[in-house]
Amino acid sequence: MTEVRREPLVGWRIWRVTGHGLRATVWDAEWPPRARFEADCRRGGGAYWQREHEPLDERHRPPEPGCECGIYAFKRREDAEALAREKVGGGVIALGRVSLWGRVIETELGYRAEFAHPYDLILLGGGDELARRLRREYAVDVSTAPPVVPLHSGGG
Amino acid sequence: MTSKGAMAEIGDPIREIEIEPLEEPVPAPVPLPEPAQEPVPA
Repeated sequence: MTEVRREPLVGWRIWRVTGHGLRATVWDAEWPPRARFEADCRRGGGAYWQREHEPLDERHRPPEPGCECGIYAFKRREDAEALAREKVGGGVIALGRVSLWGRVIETELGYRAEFAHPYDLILLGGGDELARRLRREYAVDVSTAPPVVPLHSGGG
Repeated sequence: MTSKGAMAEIGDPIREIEIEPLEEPVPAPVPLPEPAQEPVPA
């Protein structure tokens, strides 16, 4: 039986920061400011994953337990930071908490959710001006921190 | 990262939760600027 709650869950995730705001690091989907980000499950691009054997026209409400779709977040900050070290490629990464609601599948280390919006952000490598802009656009707390060291930075 | 990699990073599903907040945790949109007032002829 599905548990029903009123309070959104809060997880940790990362985004790439571009001139257009926050973007997903894997599928490059834009996270619109001051609007809920909605998971989708279709082949061809978007905030989803889908099993390869599933028919193309089989739509479902994400996240589907038997699929891989949904908005991903970690339970622990450390796991999101580790992913940031893997994903950083010279650009600015935002690490932050994210509110999750709608249909949510809890996993061992995180969540897959139907709806999400940033809760707060830490810019890893971004300056104060960028922080002010994101704070104004997304209306969430934004702080700054030194850039992350890439996982594969060379030198052994 | 592949989709399989993403799944591996958050682990296997434990349970499903339906979250219906009384108010969605989304900030209010930025209000549109007021249209410029046309001068009223005297």
